Amino acid sequence: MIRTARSNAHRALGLVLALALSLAALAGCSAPAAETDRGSAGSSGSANENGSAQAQKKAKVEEGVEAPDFEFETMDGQTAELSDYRGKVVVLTFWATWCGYCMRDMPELDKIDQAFDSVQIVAINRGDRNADAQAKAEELGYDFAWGLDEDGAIEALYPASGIPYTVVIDENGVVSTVFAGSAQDMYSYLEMAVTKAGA
Amino acid sequence: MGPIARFKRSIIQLLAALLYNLNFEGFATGTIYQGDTKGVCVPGLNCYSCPGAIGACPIGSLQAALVASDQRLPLYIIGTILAFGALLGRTVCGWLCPFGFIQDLLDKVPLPKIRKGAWSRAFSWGKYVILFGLVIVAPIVLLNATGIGTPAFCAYLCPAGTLEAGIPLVAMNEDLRFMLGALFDWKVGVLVALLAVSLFVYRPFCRFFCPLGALYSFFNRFALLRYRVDEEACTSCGACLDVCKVDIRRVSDRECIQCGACVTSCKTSAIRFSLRDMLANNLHIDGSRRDDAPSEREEQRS
Repeated sequence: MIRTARSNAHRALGLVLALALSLAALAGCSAPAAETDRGSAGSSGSANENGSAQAQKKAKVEEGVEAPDFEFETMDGQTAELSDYRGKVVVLTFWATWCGYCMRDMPELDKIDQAFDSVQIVAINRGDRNADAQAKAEELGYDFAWGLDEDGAIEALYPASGIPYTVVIDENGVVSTVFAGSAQDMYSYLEMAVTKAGA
Repeated sequence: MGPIARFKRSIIQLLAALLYNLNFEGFATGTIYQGDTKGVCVPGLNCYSCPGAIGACPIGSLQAALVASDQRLPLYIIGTILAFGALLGRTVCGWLCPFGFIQDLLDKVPLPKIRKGAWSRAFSWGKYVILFGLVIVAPIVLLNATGIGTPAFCAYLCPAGTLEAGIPLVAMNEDLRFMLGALFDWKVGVLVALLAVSLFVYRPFCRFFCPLGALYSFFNRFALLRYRVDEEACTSCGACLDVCKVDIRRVSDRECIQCGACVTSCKTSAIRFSLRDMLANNLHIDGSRRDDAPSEREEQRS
């Protein structure tokens, strides 16, 4: 084969890319574990082939499924559980101080909270240091069940591609609606969802 | 460029697209990868929110960093773009960008093609307008006005994001669909329009709209890995300009996407990829000929 100068360049580039591809493929093989490596006990180890091992360990959070129960640390250091709020329609929302759309949702959540007696907002922080989350909760001053999740244990039960991530749960602890984001007129969507859940 | 060389470039483009998007299971579940490599930018325009993406988009990251950073300048992302630019310039566009690859494929469809002209050279300024207006200024203005630093290019224009991220995510994940409204319709419309135009015009997005191409274009004249013209061999016949499908005035200027289509048009073999010359020890890294380089006669024989 005549090794032209141009094909030398292509060969070198191809080699570099092949190398990078192999390295990245190795990294890619461990991709499923990355989602839960923030502290969820035991579920990160075996999920190597694809996500199916992980999926078996917890059900997808969707309508009709029982919302996974969890314990959370409140802003003043006590603990509470999601199931404490059985009998109410729970709007479980995950937020962060640096998340613009989460902050935009906050007054809407408060309006829903005021408008419906049987609604309880459970606002679990995701992705802040505890001190920052506590400061923001105090600054906002809403009467929510504020919670912390610094080790990501709750995130492992309610994984999402982003925040805000809001799950509306009926009085029996069954998931009624999931919002993977926030819309301009979020109040009307929340109102529809809590009404559907029986508020 | 000979057919075998063209095929090799296509293979590298395909490999790059696969490399950026190794998280194949993301497409099945409608979720995005959240591992540590997402903190690293890929050189091409590949949406962070693509379910398969294992890295971040430089343009998306730049916008996010501009409005999120407490520092005056987001150093990490600027450094990353500088590094890619200095190393590759618009070789990224020609070889390592999935959306460029898609436009190349659409160009292969046998339909009448609209050739470049004064009109396309004028439109080529559009990408700088978008870089300055949508990528840099708009997020900062929106942050001050609304409290949310919307990445304006991603939100209002980027067809790569719509194709790779918006549509797959919405198709697989019903919890996202409540948000679909006029903006989604607009984004899909932009994507469809660009894909349709790509059938008749060569790489319209890259030439007229891409802010990343605009950024890399600043480096194109002196990037390490790019096509270079040997000024001693060049006879200024203009054959390279004729065969080129984008609006260059010279090989490797700001419009050149380093695709190499001009190489076989040159009768004196003056256009060569810089890596080849460095490997063959003919040139120094700055393009000047080495003293111990073989004479031109010897070169043509080998």
